[in-house]
Amino acid sequence: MGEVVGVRMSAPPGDGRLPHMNHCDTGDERQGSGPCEGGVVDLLEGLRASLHAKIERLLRMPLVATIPEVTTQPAPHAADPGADVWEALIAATQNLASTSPAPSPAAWREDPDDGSALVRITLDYDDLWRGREKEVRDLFLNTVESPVAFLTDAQKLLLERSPREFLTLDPMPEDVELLDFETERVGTSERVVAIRVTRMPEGRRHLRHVAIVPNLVPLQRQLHALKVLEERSDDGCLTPLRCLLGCDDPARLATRAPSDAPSPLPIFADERLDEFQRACVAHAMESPHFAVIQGPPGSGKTTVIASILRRAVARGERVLVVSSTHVAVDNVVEKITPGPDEASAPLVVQSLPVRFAARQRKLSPRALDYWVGAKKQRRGATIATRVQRCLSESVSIASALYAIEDAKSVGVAPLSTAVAACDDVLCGTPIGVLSYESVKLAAPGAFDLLVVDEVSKLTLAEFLAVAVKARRWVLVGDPEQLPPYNDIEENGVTLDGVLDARLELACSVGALVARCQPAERDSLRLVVAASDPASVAAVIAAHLAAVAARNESPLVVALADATEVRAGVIVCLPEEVEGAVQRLSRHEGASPASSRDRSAFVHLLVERGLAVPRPATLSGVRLVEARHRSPAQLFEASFNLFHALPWSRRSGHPLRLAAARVGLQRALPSAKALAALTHGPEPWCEAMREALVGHIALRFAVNTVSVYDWLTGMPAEHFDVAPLHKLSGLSRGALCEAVRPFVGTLKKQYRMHRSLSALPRAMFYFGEALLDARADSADSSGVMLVHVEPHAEDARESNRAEADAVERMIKLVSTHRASRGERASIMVLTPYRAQEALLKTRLEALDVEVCTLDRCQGREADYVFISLVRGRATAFLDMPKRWNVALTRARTGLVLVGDLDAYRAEAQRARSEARRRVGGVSPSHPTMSLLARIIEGYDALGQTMKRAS
Amino acid sequence: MIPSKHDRHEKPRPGRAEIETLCILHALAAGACTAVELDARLGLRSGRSRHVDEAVGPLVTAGWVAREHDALRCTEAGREHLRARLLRYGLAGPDVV
Repeated sequence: MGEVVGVRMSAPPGDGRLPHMNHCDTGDERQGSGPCEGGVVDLLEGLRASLHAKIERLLRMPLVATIPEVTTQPAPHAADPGADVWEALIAATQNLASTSPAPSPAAWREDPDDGSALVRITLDYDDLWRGREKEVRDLFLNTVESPVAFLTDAQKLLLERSPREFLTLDPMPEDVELLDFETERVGTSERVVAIRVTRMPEGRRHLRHVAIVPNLVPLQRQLHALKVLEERSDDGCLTPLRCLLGCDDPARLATRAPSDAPSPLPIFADERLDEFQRACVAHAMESPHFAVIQGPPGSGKTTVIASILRRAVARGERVLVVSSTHVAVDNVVEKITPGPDEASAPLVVQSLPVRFAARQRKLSPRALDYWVGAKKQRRGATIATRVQRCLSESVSIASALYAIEDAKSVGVAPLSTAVAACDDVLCGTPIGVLSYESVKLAAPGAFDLLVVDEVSKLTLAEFLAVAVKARRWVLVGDPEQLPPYNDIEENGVTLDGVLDARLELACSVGALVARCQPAERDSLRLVVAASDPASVAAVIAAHLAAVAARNESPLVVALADATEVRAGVIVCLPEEVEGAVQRLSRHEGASPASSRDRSAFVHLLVERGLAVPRPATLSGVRLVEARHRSPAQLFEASFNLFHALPWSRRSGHPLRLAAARVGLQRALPSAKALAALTHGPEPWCEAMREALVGHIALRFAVNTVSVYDWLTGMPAEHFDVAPLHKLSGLSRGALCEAVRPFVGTLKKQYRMHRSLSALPRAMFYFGEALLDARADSADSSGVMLVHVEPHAEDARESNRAEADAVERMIKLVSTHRASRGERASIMVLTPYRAQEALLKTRLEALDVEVCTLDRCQGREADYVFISLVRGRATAFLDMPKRWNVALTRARTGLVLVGDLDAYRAEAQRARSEARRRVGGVSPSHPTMSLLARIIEGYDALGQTMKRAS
Repeated sequence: MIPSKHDRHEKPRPGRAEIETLCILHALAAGACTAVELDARLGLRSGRSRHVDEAVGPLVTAGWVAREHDALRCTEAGREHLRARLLRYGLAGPDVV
C-alpha cells in the first residue's frame, strides 16, 4: 500500500501526481478519503512504516570519531642502487608493510583510581557540519551510561558503507560504557573533543575510531511483534491484540461481565484494600482479555499490582510485570519482596521476582537484590541468604553448619538452586525484559498475565512488543499524568514517507515563519537548498500565501531573481548556497544583537536527501535543525494540543494555545502548496490535502498516543484543529466497549496531607479522585509559596537566585529536623535540566534528590521544593499533566519557589482584560497560563506566602 | 612455622551445597513426609512442593532419599551419610540422628 495516500482519484492534468503516489491504490473510490475516514484504517501499516522510518534514521546516524594518532614512520628500507627493478619493488613493499603508527599516547589516559579512560577524539565537522555540532553534542549526552564501540579501520569502513551489515558482525566490536565527555568552544559552537569510558578497551593498539552505534533492538522487537500479530490470525490468545490493531473483529472477544465472575475474590488476612482497590483487583482477575486501572497519584497502584500478582501466582500463573521507568518496576519489586527487617520471610513465589536489567546502576538498592543481568546477577546470592535464614530457624543443625561454612567451596546448592530457578514473576522494562532468555524464547501467549505499570507512558508499538508474550493484560496508569515521551525529531522522521521533500520544505518555511516574532519576519534571511529551485520557490510562496497574512510573509525568490534581495527567502541549488548566503549576509563587522535574534543569522534549510558543502562564510550561518522543521513541529504542536485541549475544555480554563494552533496551520501542507507542486485542480488538491492530514494524524497517533488512550478511547471530541480532528476516525469503539466493564479507578489517595491534595483534586481530577484517605496528624504541613526576584543575567533555563533560596531553605529544614531527631526525605524538582544540574551541584552535600518534572513520576518525598526558573510560561510549562505530577509528589510539605509575582501579575492582567471585554463583568475563567492559574489557586486556598530575602 | 592451608589437621568445613543437602536429610530423618510438608519442615513456607521436588532430585539419584508415591523418605544410606558428615564436622549428638 502506498505511503501517502490510499485513494483512487482521477489524475490531475499534466505532471500532476506526486512521485510517491505512483504506486498507491487501495481501491477506495471515495475522493478525499484518507486513512482516518471511512474505509479500513490501516493502523498496522502506519505502525510498520513508522518503525521502518525510525530504523532508517538510526542507520543514517552512526557517529564515528577518530582517535588522533602520531605518525611515526620507521626509517624506510633503502633499496640498493644497484638492485634491479624487482628488488626495488620488494624494498618498497617492505616499507609499506612496516608497523602502523600507534595512536599518540596522549590520546589515551587511564585514571589509576577508578580505571576509567579518557580518550581524545576528533570529529570531522566539515563533513558533519550540516548544523550538527549541537546534534552531535546531544547524541553524546543521550549516550552517557550506554556503550560506545571502539573500531579498527576496517570496521569503521564497514559501518559507514553498510550499517546493516556492520550490525551483523560476530563478534561485535568491543564496546565500553560512556561515562562522560568533554567539549571545547569553537566559535559559537561546542565540539566534543574527548570521552571518558568505564575502562580502557582491550587491543587498543589497533583501535582507531570510536563510534556511537545505533541500537536497533527495541525497534526490531516492535516490528517482530507486528509480524507475529499479522501472521497469527488463528491464534485465539492473540485476538484481543489483533483487535487493538484493527486486524480482527472485537465481536470475537470472549465476553464476561464482572458480575458473571464464577468465584469471589479470595481474601488474604494480611491484605488491606479499600473498596476501589478491591474492585480493580477483581477486574484484573476476572477479565478474559484487558483490564485497565486508572491510578492517580498515591492511590495505591503498587499495592494493587502486588495483590494481583499474589492472586495470579496462587492460580499457578506466570506473570510479566513491566513499566517504562525503572523506578516503577523497582517500586513493585520492593513491594513484593521482604524488607530488611523481615529476616526469614516465607519463600513464596511472588516474593522471588526476577528483576531483569542490562545494567545494575539504574536499580534501587533493594531491587538490586533480585537483579539478573545478561552476564551477571545478584539474585542467586539473595535467595541463598534467604534459604539460609529459613533453614537456620527451622533445622536444628543448620546454624552450626553455616557457622563453619567454607564460603569458597563450589557445588550446586539444591535448595537455593531450585528456589532461584523459579521465575514465575519477571520484572523489567518492556524492551529490556525481552532480552531475558526465557522471555526471548517464549512463544506468543506463553505468559498467563502481563501487568503494565505507567501504561500511560507507553505507545502502542512499545506495548505490543512485550504484550504478544502474554494472553491477558492488566494495564495500570493515569491518563492525567505524563504521556509517552515525544521525541519530535525521531517521530518527525516518520512523516518522510508522507510529505514530499519539496512540500516538506514549504511546510518547514511556514513553521519557521510561525516561530518568528512579528518584528523578525521582515528581516528573516533564509536560504533554501533545493533540487528544483524555481518549482520550490513557487510552492513556498503559495504555501505562505495560504497560511499567513500578506504582511507576515517574507519575500520568496529563486536565486536567479534575487539580485537586489537583502532579506527574505532565496531558493537555490546546493552548489549555489555559498553565493546565496553571501547575498543575504550583512556587511562585515556587523555582529548579531544577541544569539536569540533570528534576524541576526542567515538560516539554511536543506531539502531532505540533499548534501550541501559547508560554506566558507561560516560565521553567521545557522542550519535549520531537524527539530525546527515542519515534521518535528507538527508533532510538537499536535502533542501540546492533544494533552492540553481536553483539560482546557473540561475545566473551562482557556489556555494560551493560539501559538500552537497557528504553528500547526503553517506546518501542515496547504492545498495551494499542493496546487503549485502538482498543478492539479483545486478540488483535487483539497482532497489530497485532507488525505495527507489524515496520514499525519495516523502517524501522530501511532507514535505518541498511549495504549491507555487506545483502549479507553481518545478524547477526540475535544479536537477541533487539524490534524487532531481526524483522530475520531481512529478510535477502537467496539474494543473500548468490550473493555469498559473491566476499567476501574482508584479514587482514594494515601500519600498527601489533605492540604496538599486539595488543588490537584479540584484542578486535575474535578473532584472525582484523589479523595483523602490518610489519617492526618496535627503536624503543620501545607503549601508554601516563595517569591524570588529574578536576576537579569540568569539564563532561560537556570536561575541562580532560586537555587540560592532553595539551598537556604533545605538547610534550614534539615537542621530543624535533625535537632528533633527526625529524618525527612526531601526532593527538589525543576522543569529544566540546566537548573537540575545547578541544584545538584549546590545540594551535593545534602541528602536530597534532585530531578526534572519529567522524571519525577513514581517518586515521592516528605517535602518537595519546586524551582520554577521562569516568570513566564511556555507551551512546555502549560501542560496540565506535567503539573499534576509535580504537585502530587509531596507527603507533608510543598514549596513553590520562583518569580511568583510575575504570574500573579499575569493573572491580574488577564482578569482585567477579560472584564473590560465583557463590559465590566468578571468571567470565571479568563485566558492565562496554567502556572498563573495554579498560583492563583494556592493563593485562594490561603497558603502561606513568603518572600525570599 | 606458618601452618599450610593443606595441613591435614585443619578442621573440615562444609560448603553451602552440602549444608543444604544435610538439612534436607536431617528434616527427612524425622520421618517420611510429602514435599509440601518437607517445605514446611525446612522453614521455606512456600506453600508448594515445587522447590523441594526439584531440590531432592540429586539426593534421590544419590540414593539418600526415596520417593514413595507422594512421600519422601530418607533411606538408610542417607541416614548413614548424614551421620558420617555430621561426625566429620563435630556435630554428632543425641539431638541430631
